[in-house]
This record gives sequence, C-alpha cells and structure tokens, in this order.
Amino acid sequence: MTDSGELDQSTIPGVHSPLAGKVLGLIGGTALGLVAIGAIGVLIAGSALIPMPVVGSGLGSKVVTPVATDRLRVCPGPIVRLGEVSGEDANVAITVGSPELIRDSTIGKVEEESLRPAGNASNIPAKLLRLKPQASGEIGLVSGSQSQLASEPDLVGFAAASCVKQSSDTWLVGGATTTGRTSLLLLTNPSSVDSEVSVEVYSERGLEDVSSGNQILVPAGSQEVLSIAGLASGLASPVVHVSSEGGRVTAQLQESIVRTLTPGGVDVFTGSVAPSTSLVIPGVVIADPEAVESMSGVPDFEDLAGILRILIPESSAGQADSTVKMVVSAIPETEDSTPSSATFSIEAGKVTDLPLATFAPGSYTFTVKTDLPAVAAVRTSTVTLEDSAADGSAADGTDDQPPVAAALDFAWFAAAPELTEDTLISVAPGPGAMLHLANTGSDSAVVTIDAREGAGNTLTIPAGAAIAVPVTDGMSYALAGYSKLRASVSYQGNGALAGFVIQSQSRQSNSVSVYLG
Amino acid sequence: MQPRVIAILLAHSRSEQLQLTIESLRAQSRQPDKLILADLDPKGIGVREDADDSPPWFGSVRFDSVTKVRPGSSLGRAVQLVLADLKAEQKAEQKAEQETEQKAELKSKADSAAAAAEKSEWLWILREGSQPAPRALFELAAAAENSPSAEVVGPMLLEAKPEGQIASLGETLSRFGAAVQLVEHELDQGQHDDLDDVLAVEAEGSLVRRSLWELLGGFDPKLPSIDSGLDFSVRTRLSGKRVILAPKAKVVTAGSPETFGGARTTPGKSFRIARAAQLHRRLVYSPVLATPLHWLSLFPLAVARSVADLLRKYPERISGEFLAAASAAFSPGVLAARSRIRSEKTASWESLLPLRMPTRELQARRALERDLPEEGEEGPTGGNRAQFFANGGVWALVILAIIGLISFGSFIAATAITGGGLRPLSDSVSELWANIGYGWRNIGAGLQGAADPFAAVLALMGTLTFWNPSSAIVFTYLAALPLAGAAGWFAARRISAGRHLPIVGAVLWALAPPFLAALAEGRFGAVMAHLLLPWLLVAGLKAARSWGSAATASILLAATTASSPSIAPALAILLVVLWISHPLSLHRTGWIPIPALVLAGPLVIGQILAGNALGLLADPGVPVSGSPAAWWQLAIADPALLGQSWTELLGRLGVGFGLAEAPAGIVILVLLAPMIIGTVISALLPKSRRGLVGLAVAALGLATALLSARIQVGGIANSPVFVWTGSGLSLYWLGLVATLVIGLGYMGSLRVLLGIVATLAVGVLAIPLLAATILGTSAVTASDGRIMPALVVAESATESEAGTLVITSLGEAGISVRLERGAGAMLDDQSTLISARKKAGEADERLQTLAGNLAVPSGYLAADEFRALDVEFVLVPASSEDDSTHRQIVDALDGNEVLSAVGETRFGSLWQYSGPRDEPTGEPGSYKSPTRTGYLILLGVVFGAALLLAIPTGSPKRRDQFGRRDQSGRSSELQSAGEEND
Repeated sequence: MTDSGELDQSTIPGVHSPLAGKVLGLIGGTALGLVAIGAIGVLIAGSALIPMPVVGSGLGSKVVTPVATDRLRVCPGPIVRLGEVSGEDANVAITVGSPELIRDSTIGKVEEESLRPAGNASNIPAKLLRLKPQASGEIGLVSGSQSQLASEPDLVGFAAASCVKQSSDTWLVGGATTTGRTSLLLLTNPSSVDSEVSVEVYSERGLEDVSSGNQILVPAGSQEVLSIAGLASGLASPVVHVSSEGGRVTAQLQESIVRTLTPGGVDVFTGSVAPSTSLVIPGVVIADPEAVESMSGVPDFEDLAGILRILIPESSAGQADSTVKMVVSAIPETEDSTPSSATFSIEAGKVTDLPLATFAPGSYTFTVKTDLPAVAAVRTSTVTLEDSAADGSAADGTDDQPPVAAALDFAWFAAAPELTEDTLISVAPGPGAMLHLANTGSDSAVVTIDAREGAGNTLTIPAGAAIAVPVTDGMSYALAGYSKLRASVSYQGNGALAGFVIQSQSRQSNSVSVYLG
Repeated sequence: MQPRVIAILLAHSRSEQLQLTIESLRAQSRQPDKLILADLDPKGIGVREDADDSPPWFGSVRFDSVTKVRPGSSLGRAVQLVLADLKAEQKAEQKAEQETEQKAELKSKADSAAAAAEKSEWLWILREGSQPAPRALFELAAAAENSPSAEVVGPMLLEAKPEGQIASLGETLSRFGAAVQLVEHELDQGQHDDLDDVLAVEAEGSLVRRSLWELLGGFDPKLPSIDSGLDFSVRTRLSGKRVILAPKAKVVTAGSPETFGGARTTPGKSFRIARAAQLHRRLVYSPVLATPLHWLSLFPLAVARSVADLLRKYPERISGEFLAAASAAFSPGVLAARSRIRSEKTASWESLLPLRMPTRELQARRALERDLPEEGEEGPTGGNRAQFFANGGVWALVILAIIGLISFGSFIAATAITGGGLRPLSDSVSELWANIGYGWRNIGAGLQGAADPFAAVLALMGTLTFWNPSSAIVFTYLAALPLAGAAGWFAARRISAGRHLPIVGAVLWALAPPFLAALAEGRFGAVMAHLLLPWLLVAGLKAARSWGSAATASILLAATTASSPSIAPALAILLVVLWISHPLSLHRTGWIPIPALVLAGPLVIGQILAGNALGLLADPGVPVSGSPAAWWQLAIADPALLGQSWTELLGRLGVGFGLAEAPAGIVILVLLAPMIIGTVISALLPKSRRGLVGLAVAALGLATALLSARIQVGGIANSPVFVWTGSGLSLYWLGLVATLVIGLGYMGSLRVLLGIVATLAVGVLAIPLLAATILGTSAVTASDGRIMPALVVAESATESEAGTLVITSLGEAGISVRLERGAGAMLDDQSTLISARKKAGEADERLQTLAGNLAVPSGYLAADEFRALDVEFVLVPASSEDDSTHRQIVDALDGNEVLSAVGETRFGSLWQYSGPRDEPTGEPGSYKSPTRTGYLILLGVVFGAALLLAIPTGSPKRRDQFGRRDQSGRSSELQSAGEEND
C-alpha cells in the first residue's frame, strides 16, 4: 500500500495517459470500497438468513433423590396440671395419670421412644413414634393416638388426641384463660435440634401483646409446658399461633375447666390447618342439645354452649377493623343429608365466637368459607343432668331449681386437613368411637375402610356429603380409594366427649434437580 | 635503492570489479615490478595463456604468474601461497643461474643477493574491486623510501559510494583493546594529509616489506578477514618496526574485509566475525597472568552483552556473541599466536601506548556521534503530526476523565469491585503470582492444571498496587475512559493526517458500546483488550521496520489474547497478513506470536488434552451467564446491553416525551447513522485506500462476534454462558473507527461537520451505558473486598481451606450448588479449565448429591460428607419473597441436626457444621513441581527478552562499535527502507 494511495501507473498495462490512469485509479478505489462494504453486508445478511446452531453445552443437572426420612409422630403424653392437687409447686407441670396409646404401621415396626418430660423428672413423658424406611427405600404408613379418662378432684373428663406430625407453624383455636379455665400449651420437640418457638395469642380484642411469648427454647427431644394465662389472662376466646425455628415442634393445647370447685371437663386438641379461605370441620358431635341449653343458662356455665370460633388473622391490605363475609354450612353426617348454611360478617383480626344454632343430636360437618384466610374450630359439650341421669327422661328446667350437671365434658373439634392419599388411623380406647368422613370434592368418593385385624368396609360418599361410621376402639384402620377426603374420629359417652382430626402421612421429599454453579 | 614492488592481486571471480581493478593497475603511473594473480575462482578466472612461454594475460594486462588458490581461502592464506610459489620460482631461477655460473663463490653471493633482493622487495596487496588511484603506487613507494624504518605503508582507503568519503585511514586500539578507526564519517578534503605514524593500517592496498612478512609469518590464520591488518601492524610495531600512512595514496576499496570472497554478509554475521576477532586478540595480547581470567570471562560477558544488545535493539547480535565467545574459547590458534608474538617481540606494549586512543578521546568521539541530528518521524502523508498538548488531545482526555468519574464515581473510595464478571483480587501479591503458570487451581473442588494466561495480567496489575491488589481494578475503572481515549488518540494520530482528527478517534474509542457494556457487566478481560487494541495496532504497523515495535507488539499481543481469547483467531489472521505483506521483515515479525504462545501454551495443551478445544475461547474471569445478542444487534456493535439500557432509559423517560413505545433499536440506529455514513463515505473515497484495511479488520471483528454468539462455553446453574461477543465487537468498532478517521482526513471541509456530528451522536448513544452504575442497572458495585460472610472469612484466616457450600435456589428449576474454599475464590483464582469443562467430574457429583439431600428433609448422613470434603459452612443466598424452594431449603437446613444456624448475613443465610473435619491431605502437586518452575523460568526469559527489546532507548545507529567502517554509508538506501530506525 503506497503512501499516496494512488495506483502506480506502471502496474496498469496499456495505460499511458496520466489522466486515464487517474480516472482508473479513482474508479478502482471506489470499487474496492464497495467490495469491502459489500463484504460486511454479506456477513450481516448471512448471519441473518442462515441460522447457525449453538456449539457447546453446559454441564446440565443431576436429579438427586433424597434418602428417605423416618416418619415421626408425637403423642403429647398425659394430662398435665400445674402444681399438685393441693396447690404446691404451682409453677411445675405435673402429669396426671398416663394415657393409653394405640399405634400401628403398614410396613415395618413402629418404634416408640420416650421424650424428656417438662417439669418434674418423675412425669410420664410424651412419646415419639418412629417408622424407619425399609432397606429398599419403601416406607409404610404410620399412625397413633392416645386417650385418657381423668377423674381427679380437679380434672374430670375424657381427652383424646392423635399423635401428630411436626410443623413449624401451628394454629390452635380454642381454650380460654378466664377464671377457672386453664389452657396449657404443650410444646414437644422430637428433633435433635433445639427449637426456638414464638407464640402469638389472638383474642376477642385482637392480637395480644405477649412480650414473654417470644423465643421460648424447647431443647431437642423434650417437652415444655406453657400456661397461656401466663401470657395473656382473662381471655374468653383465645387463638394461639405457634411458630418454631430450628427443629420443628408439635403444639397441643390442653384446656381444663373448674367452676368454683367443680371440675368441668378437660380436652386436648391439636392444631387446626393453616389459615385458609375454605375450612372443613368434620365430626362435630352435638350431644344432649336440650341439656346443654338449659345448663348453659346457669351462670358460669355459659361456655357449655356450642360455638364456632373463627379468626381471620390478617385483614386485607393491613386495614384494621375490616369486616369479612363468611358462609357457614352444617352438613349432617347421615345419608340424604341436606346442609343448612348461614352468612355472617365478622371483623378481621379479632377472634369471634359464633353461637351455634340448635341442631338435632348427631354429628355434623361444618364448612366455613371466607373471603380472607381464616382458622376455625367448633366447641360442643355433653351434659348429663342430675335428674335425667337418674331416670333418663328429658330434663326440664321448668322448676325453680337450676339444673345440675352430673357429668359433663366439652370438646374442641378442629378443622381437618385434606387427605389425598391413603392413610392409616389408630383409634384409641374410648366410648362411642365414630369415624367421620367428609367428601369435599366434586366427585363422589368410594372409600374403603380396612381394619388392620378384621373385616373392612366400603362406603360411597357423594360429593359434598359426609358420613359417620362407628369404629371399634383400640383398632387401627387403613383408608384408601379416595382422591379428596377429610376425616376425623370422635368419642361420645356419659361425661365424655373428645375428637381429633386425621392428618395425612408425612411426605417424602421430592427429587431435586441440582445444577452446578 | 628503488624498492621492488610485487603486486599481488587476489581475485575470486571474473566480475566487473576485477575489470575495474585491472584498469586501475594499468593506469598506474608507476607500474609494479611483478604482478601476480591469485586465482580463487573454482572455475578459474579465465586467464589466457599463449602457446609459448609468455606470461598469461587477462584483459589488457599481463600477469607475471598465476597462483591457484583454493576457493574460500582467506586473504592472508592466499598471499602466503603466492609467496611460496614465488619463492619456489625464484629458487628455480637461481638454480638455473647457478648451473650456468661458477658454483661455490657465486652461491653465497647469489644467496646474499637473494637476501638483499628479498629485503628490498615489497608486497602490494590488492583484491578484486580495489581501485588504486593512478599515483597510488608512486606515493606508497615514495613514502616507503622516505622512511627507511617503516615496513608497512598504508594508503587512504576511500568508499566507492558516496564518493570521496574516507573508508579507512589508519586504525588504533583503545585502552581495552577495541579496534577504533582513526578517521570516521569524513570526506577527504586533505585534512589528514599529515598523518604519518599510526598503530595499524588495513591490509587492502597496503605495501608490506616482504622480509617483514616472512619474519612475522603473514597474517594470523585465526583472523581471516576482520582485524587481520590490525593484528599484523601491531605485531610489526612490537617487533620494532614502524607502520606509516601515505594519505596521498588513494585506493577506492572493494568493501569491508569480510566481504572478500564475494560472500554476502548480514550485519549479524559481520558482527560475529568482528567480535570473534576482538576476543581472539584479547586472548592473544593479554598478559599471561590475565589470560585465564579473560578466558573465564568469555561466557559471562556474552550473557551481559546480550542483555545490552536487547536494550540497544540489536537482537540479531545475540547469537553472534555466543558463537564468537565459543570460537575464541575453544580455538587452538591462541597458543600459536602467543608463541609467535613472544618469539618476534622486541618492543614492549608500553611503547605502543602513545599510538593508542585514550579513553577520554574515545568517549568524546562517542558523545559527538550521539549529538548528530536524528531523523524525525513524519506522519503518514508527510507534514506535521498532531501534537498531544497543542491540538486538543489533553482536553479530550480531561473531558473523558470527568465523564468517567461521574459515571463511576461510586467506586472512588472502594476497596474492590464485585459483581458481574468481577471479584476482588487476592489479598497479597505472592498469592497473585502463585496463581499463574501450571499448578493447583484453587477454585471449587480444585484441579491441578494450567492457569489462564489472564492470571498473569492480573498478577502484574495487582503488583502495581501492591498494598491492595484490588485497587488496580478500581483505578482501571475510574481511569477507563481517559485510558481508552489516550489509546484511541495515539492510534488515530498514527493512521491519519489532520490536527484534530485524533480527538474523534479518542472519543469514539472511549465511548465504544462494547467497551461500556464490558465495564457495566464487569468483564474485565474485555475491558483490558479494548484498552490494549489501539496500542497493538500502532505497534503492529511499525513492527516490520523496527525491533522495538516488534517486541512491543509481541508483548501486547500476548496481553490482548490473554485478556480476550475470542479475538485471538482474528488477530492471528491479521498477523499472517502482516507476514505475507512484509516478507522481508520476517526476521523481526516472526517473533511476534512467541510470547503469546508461551503464555497460553500450558492452557492450550491442557484443554486439547481434555478434548475441549472450544474452551480455549472462554473468557477469563468469573463466568457471566446470559443469552447473546441477535445478529442485528451485533451488526450495530451492540452486545445486547446497549439495547437493554436504551429500552430501560426510554421506559423511564419516554412517558414525558411520547417515546415510550419507540424500540431501542431504532434509536440506536439513528444515533449511529452519522458514524456509519462517515465510514461508508470513507470507504468509497478512492484516496483512502488504507481505510479498506480498516474495513477488513471490521469484517474480521464482526465475523468473530457473530461466531462468538453461537459458542456456548459452559453454564452457571441453569443459565448458559456464551463467549462474550463484545471483544469481537471491539475489533469491529476498531475497524470502523479507523476507516472513518482515515477517510475524514480526505474529506476536506466536510470532515469538520461529519466528525463533530458523529462524535456527539456516539456520545449520546453511550449515555444509558454510562449511567448504568448511577441508575443501578450495572452488575458491578463497590465492595469491601469480601465475598463471603464475615464468619467464613474469619475462619479462613486460621484454617485456610475450610469449605463453604453455597446452595442457591433456582425457583421451579431446582437448586444449584458450588463449593468455595477459604474466603472464596477470587478473580485470580478463576480458571477456564474448570468453568468451561464439558463433563461434571466425580467431585461435582458428590457435591450435587450432598446439596440435593441438604435442601430437603432427608435421611442422608451429611456429617460424613462434610467431614470428608472439609466443608464447614452452608450458605443460602437470599431470594425473592415467594420463592418456595428457598423457604424449603431454609427449613430443611434449619431442621438438619448436624448444622447449627449462624443467622442472616449480607450474603444470605449461613449455617455452620461444627463436627470434626478431615485435615486436607495437602494439595496434590505442590508449588515446587519442576514443571511449574521450568515454565516460570521460560516465561521470565521470553518476556524479559521482549521487554528489554521493547524498551525505547533512542540511540541512533550510526556508530559501529568495532571501529570498522560505517556500513550505513554504503547502504543508505537500505537504511531508509529496512534498517533500524528506533
């Protein structure tokens, strides 16, 4: 390339005139420029028109199937009292009696481990049921439940609870901390990691300020007992929210009532489902409606009446004092049942106790539909009046004497989680054990109930219907054949009322796609 | 008595030069008494012989005899053979005479007559091409007659071209034995006609008494050409005889002594012969006690002088230094020469001192030479070049510096920069240097293999700011725009004429979209490549003519291909074009790829052995994932980030201006239009033919970018990593800007408008990219030098290699895992051997299994793996609120019994494993492996030599240190075309 940029004339054959040489040089230069621009244009057009494939690839991922974990269930242990009967050691939890525990599994053997009890070392501890996976990785279904009949001077009644899965978040709807009503929170940590638990208490006034409810340490493998009255006393309608960090715990609430000196029943209930806009509470037992009604007119017996306690924890967009609409339906658990429903407006953020209408005796499935996620539970009572206990005839409150109860008990019925897979039920010993199944799906469900020893049963439950089946206590049953079901177990007897919901089996972890980088 | 002159003419071929010599001989005013031809032509000169006994004749001259000499013999050897023949002839004559005369009494008389005849016989040594002036022999003989004690008389040797320049008029020795010409670079104007006694004269054209020749045994056989006359004259002086000059006797010389025999010599070969001669003389002349010391010093001196040669840009002399040292050390002639001197010496060395050149005078001479005016550099079209200070270069850089400080102001007090492709550098300089070459790659699970060449660039930069190596990156960011502007300015000045055009080049280069995109994404290799490309262009353009530029080009090529391997193929093509277009300069330009090849060699071998040749194109630094630009974006020099930032800017501003819907591509096209139009006009202008080379470079760059967009070199988690197209686009931009700048020079008055408009338009185009750091759309942020939580860093201070498992939630796609050792893998720990690997190894699968079982509740015995892999921490970076996978991971880790939660840190949630961990078994392959050490030595030697050669020393190459005749006088055309001009 010469410095001047002009063509050397001697290189062009036959060109002798300088002018012609110059013109040719000009044309040549422009032509070369066009060629160069054209080359770039060809590059661009070529890449536009010819799709070129991508060369090379990344490393991809590996699908890791986690090693199967044990299935754990925690049985809360005996009924607990703070202090002795005489009132000594009022800040120490002391267990009363010991429950009867029924447990079973479909594959393999359930191991029963004792956890470290709260309070006194001589307490009967809570139990941990552990089902290990087989060598092939297969794991069976596990279940357990416990029941206890209390007849202490200050504790009377029947309490039954199922052995439950751990959770990092539990809503306990029920209890009271007014005078004579003791609500004890049982926190059990079956894992090998200490857990830090925070407790929130809602009431009819809204969220209570419980500064001491934060960061309760529940050591690994032990149980702690906490009195709700210590957090917030004088609450007629508390709802307790337990969340844990670290190891996951199980939370149960034990409520016992003493009216002056007369014990008024005991109940242990476990967590309701997480807040949801559609709640199903199966197996609500309505017993002795007239006796309950007449007894609840007596001062201090108001909380015998049946109520639906509901809480919408968060209002929409954080606004306080917003009202939310809810629709409550009651489905009788009989064949050809016709549900009845009612619409209410309740305030978000505050616990509301709705009195139940008068229902015929029997069991019902309550459904609650709200615009915002809510938690709910139903409390009913059983009352045996003194007069009617003697001769069995209906009590009347017509004479001037207030009715006196010979035996009474109450129970909280919590909302049941949806079961989508086969499950196992253990029915602890107790009077009048019934299995309640509610089909909340859109299709009719055919449910097989297989006793672990003995014959089975197949039931067809139409969509939106519920059914109650008597079961033998002390027995375990396997349920199968449904796609969506809600189930619970209830007990009813003379001065005995209890119930617990059936939880799904803990899921094995899904496979995880693991990339590098 | 009239001296008898026997002229000995040595001819090696029947050439024009021989004719000239014969003509001159014929024209002599005083003819020699005998004329003998020494025929060194293997085919014979073609001397004709008549049928009778008459002397042979050639051309128009009759020779008295012809002696056949073996071709290739030296001058001294030829003369010896001639004399031997002559003696034999004279003896035969004598014998014939003796037979016709009385025997006994006449024999001694004949002997003494022969001896007396010998004493008065003089040899005149001429070679083919010597052209004595008509009065030359007369003057020489007159001088010999006037000084009876003189036994060697030398003429004034003149150059053939330029006429009248003195080639040699006496030689002398310096204090240390170097040969020095008494007269250099002078025209003969009669100023030296009074020179008489000298230490030495050159052999050609000199008159030597025959008895002296016999006494001294001729020239030293170990000095065949250079210094043969010098050595003979010194020995003459040592034996008490005088050596004089006859300045009025003028002989035009055939060439310097080593050209005898017709061989073409290169400067390198001449140097070797001269150096060998000097060393031989040193060993011969030195006092006997000093000789062993001189002998031992031969090799170390050769090494030291090689370094000096590199500095003074004479790299072709290096081989000569060592060969000369070897030949002087191991030649057997030294002892013979010493014994010869011992036997003939009658005077002492001190007596020669007045004739030698004192050091002071020598230094004064050298100083005078240095002051001779240098040639100035001219611009490509002649005329004045733009001045950096006077023509606005400084202002352009100041404005760019201000823009750069505004744009990257948040980095001013930063310890380091993190994000995108950047991480801080290791804390200490020793760690930086330990990471280059071949060794343990301390990233992730670790690997024994070759480092990226870029690690060497980072080590160098980190050493410059040794107190905090990461500051080098911070300073580069702050000074990025002015540095690029300076590079563009000097490159534009190199290729174009025009006072203010370099400013266009500076601004266009500094605000190039690929450059700003690389800065915004933290692709430091691409940033360095963009900064170095113009300097590489400048050095490459001059490499064919200059050793220093070739060395600079080689170092810059190594640095550029190390920083951005994706443009290595394009640069290789350009290098091949350079080789093809300047084939005569291959001895200089052929070395250019050597440093780059040595630097990249281990990695190339490693990747090819691993079957991953594509991985060689992977960009160094932290891999950055993302999808590459589409073809139309690449065509407008946009590596996808420009369009994105314009879309973002339009989205923010467009509401008010109604431009919210305008696609960014249109805006970019409009803003680039002036530059594109200017480039097209430049290409079409017939005068700017050199601009077409710029378009060719642009085409190469665009092709590189288009291909880079199709090459995936790995991935991070589930996102692919492609080769960064911005480096190819930098080359593309370089070609376009070069074409534009060259063309603007020829556009006349249009260039002002077009230049300003194009520059301003590109300035506006760059605004969203410049504002990326301010607006927060840039990936890089200032950091305090930590990339791991404080607890991890604190632990790494005591136990350096405890690992941290980093588990990142990918939402629905799963999770991803990586292992960081110690305080994390820094920028110089990154390795493309690992980031561009094609298959996950066994260590990777172990990590994946462990992470998969940690992220969900699992019965896996994680404690065993933590212990075996020496992992102490698990870190889960934060994710968005509704990422259920993230919550699941946190819950699972919370519930894991072997891990205890440390808490939330700036980098995510941290858990710690407190159980016992295996001691690391030591790195396989320690730092001291011989491969590593050997490679580092090789690297040091190659780059050290290139660096020494590249350092500009600015000495003009007129003086030849051996006191020989100035070669440049003969070959002035060669000098301007091809010789050194540093």
